[in-house]
Amino acid sequence: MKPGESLVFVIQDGVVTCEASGFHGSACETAMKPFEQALGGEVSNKKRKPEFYQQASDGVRQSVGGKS
Amino acid sequence: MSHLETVSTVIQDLAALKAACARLGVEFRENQTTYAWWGRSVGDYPVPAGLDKNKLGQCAHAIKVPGVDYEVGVVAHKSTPGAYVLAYDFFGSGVGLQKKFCKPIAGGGHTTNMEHLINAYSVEVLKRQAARRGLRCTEQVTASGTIKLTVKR
Repeated sequence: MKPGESLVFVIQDGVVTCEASGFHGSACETAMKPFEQALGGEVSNKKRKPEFYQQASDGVRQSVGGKS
Repeated sequence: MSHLETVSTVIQDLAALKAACARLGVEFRENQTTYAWWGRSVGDYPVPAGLDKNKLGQCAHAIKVPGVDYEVGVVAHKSTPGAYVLAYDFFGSGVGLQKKFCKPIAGGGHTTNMEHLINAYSVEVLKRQAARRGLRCTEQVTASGTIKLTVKR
């Protein structure tokens, strides 16, 4: 993960919801993968936000704290 | 925001489970191979997935709640290597386990799903994973018990 990127996990009723912020392209999936694997369960309700479909930047152009 | 998803949890990290027990003020009894329960199944409920009905009462480790006679068995999943199932009897003394580990139901009583223990375990798993990757982790707990964990560089 790079500065400006974050993962926010909300844990409630035995279920973990994860929201990735500040990522562009598929970098969020790469960052979330090890956490998903550590939890070991099924992933559901996967929603990709507009930034997912943007090309991954070279790290220089990437905005910090991007919003949907 | 770029991505949102929901993940269920499978118990597979015993160190995290131990930490979850400490977090909830209960005792993880390592290598205790039986757990206290009624002692025989009367067949009124299906045996939970991952448990062998012929080995009820046997476990790899156990969890003891102070003041409750029955215990939770940490049982190796019968078909998934490395995974564990939490087994317990929710009748009789087991109501004390429900009160400790399960979510209250509107109108009285509790579920049987051990949400509080799973929540605590999930938090410990995520914190350990963040630490392994050199990431910072900030935890917030709301009045309703929802836990928010923010992970960043």
